[in-house]
Amino acid sequence: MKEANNPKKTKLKTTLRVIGVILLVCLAIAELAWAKNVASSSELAKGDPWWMWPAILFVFTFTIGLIAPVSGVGGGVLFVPITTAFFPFSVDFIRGTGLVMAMCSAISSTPTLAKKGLASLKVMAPVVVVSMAFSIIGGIVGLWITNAFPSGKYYIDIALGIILWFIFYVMLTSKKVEFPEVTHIDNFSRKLEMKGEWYEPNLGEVVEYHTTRFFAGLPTFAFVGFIAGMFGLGAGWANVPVLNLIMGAPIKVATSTSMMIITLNDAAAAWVYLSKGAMLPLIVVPSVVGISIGARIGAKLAVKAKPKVVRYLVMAIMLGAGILDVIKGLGGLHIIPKIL
Amino acid sequence: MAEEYKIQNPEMNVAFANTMNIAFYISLVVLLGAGFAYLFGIHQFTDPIHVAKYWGQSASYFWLHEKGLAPNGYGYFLHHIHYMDCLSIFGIACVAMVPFISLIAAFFKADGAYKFIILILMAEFLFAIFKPYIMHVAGE
Repeated sequence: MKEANNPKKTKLKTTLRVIGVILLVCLAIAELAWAKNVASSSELAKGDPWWMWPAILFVFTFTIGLIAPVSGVGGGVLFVPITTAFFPFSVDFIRGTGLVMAMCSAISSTPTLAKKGLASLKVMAPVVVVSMAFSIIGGIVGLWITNAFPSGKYYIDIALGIILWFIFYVMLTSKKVEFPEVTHIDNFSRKLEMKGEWYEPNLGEVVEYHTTRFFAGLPTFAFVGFIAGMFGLGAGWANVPVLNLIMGAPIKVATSTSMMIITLNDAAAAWVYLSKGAMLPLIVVPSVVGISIGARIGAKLAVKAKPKVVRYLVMAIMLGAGILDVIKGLGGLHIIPKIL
Repeated sequence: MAEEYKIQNPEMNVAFANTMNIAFYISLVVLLGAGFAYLFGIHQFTDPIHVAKYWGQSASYFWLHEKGLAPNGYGYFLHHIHYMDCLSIFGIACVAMVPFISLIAAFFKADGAYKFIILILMAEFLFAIFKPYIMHVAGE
C-alpha cells in the first residue's frame, strides 16, 4: 500500500531490481559455464571413481537445500535444470530424482501445515482431480519423447529452458496478497465449503478464509500438473499465485496448500517414472539426503538472511540455467555449434 | 499460545496429516537404509561402476545394456528385492505410495461430496500405479 502512494520510488526500485537481476544473470552464466568446463573434463577422465558424481551431487543438493527455504523457491525447480546442464546423468534419471526430492520435501512439511489448518484438503482435493490427471499425462509424454526419439532428450532440454524463462517471468511479476479480499464466492466453492481457518500468531487470532473462482483456477492447475509430470518439477511457483491471486486464498494458506498439491501430483507422476526404471538409488539417495540436511539448516538461516537478495540470486541462476539448457538442446540438434 | 485458540480443522484433514507423517518416516527408512547399504557395497544388483557407465543414457537404454531388462512395470526391482538397490527403489515406491495411503485415511473421515472427490483421486492414483499393465506406451 505504501509503495502505491509513491510511484516514483516504486519505479526506481523496479528498475534497480531489473538491473540487479541482469547483472546476476551475467555472473551466473559465467559461473555455470566455468563449472560446465570442469564437469566436461571430469566426465572424460577414465580413472574417476564411480562415487565422485554422487558425492558432488550430495554437495550440490545440500547447497540447494540451504538456499531453497531462504529464497522461497522449491528444490526441484533448481535441481532439474542445473543438474541437466552440468551433470552427466540422463534427463530421465534427473526428472525422476527431481520428483522424489519435491515429493519428500512436500510430504515432510504437509502434516504439520495440515494440522495447523494452513494446508487444506477441502481446497486441495477438488483442484488435484484435474492437476493429478495432467501430471500423469505429463510423465507419460516426457518419457515417451526421450525414449521414442533419438534426439528426444535435446527437445526436453530446450523445452525445460523455455519453461524456466517462463517461471522466471512469473516469479518476477507475480505479487503476493497476504489476506485477499473475497467479495463473491462462486456456487461450486460454496457448495463444497472450500474454506478453513488457522491461528495467526502475528495477529493473535484465528483467521477464517473462503476460496472462490474455482473454475478460473482449473486450467492453470491442469497446465501446472502437466509441467510437473513432464519435467519432474514441484511447481509451487505456479500453484501459489493461482491459489492466492485467483482463488483468493491467504498467502500462508496458498503456500501450504501448494505443498499438499505437490505431494499428490508428484507422487502420481513418480509412479510413471518408476515403472520405466527412471530412478536410480545412486542418484536418488545422495540427492534426498543432501537436500534434507541442507533444508534443515536453510530453514534456520532463513530467519537471519535477506530473502530478497537470495531470491534474486536464485532467479538469476534459474535464468542462466534456462539459457544453458536451450543452448545444450540446440547444440545437440546441431542447430547451433555444440558448445556444451 | 496457539493451544489457547482451538481451530475447527476437518477430521479428514487431521487423518490425512497423521497418516502421512507415520507412513513417510517408515518409507524413508526403507529408501535410505537400503540405499546406504547399496552405496557401501552390500548385496548389489547393479554394479555402481556399470551404472556410472550408462547413467548418461535414457532409462530404457540403461536397463537394456546394464541388465538386459526392458522395464514396463515394477518387476525389474520387485523380482530382485533381496538386493539393496532394488530394496531402495522399493523404498521410493513406498514414499510414492504415502499420499495414496493418506487419502484412504482421509476417505473414512470425509463426508458428502468429499468422499466422492477423494474416491476419484484414489482412482487416478491407482491408474498411475497400474498404467503399465493397463496400457502400453510407445518407447519400449
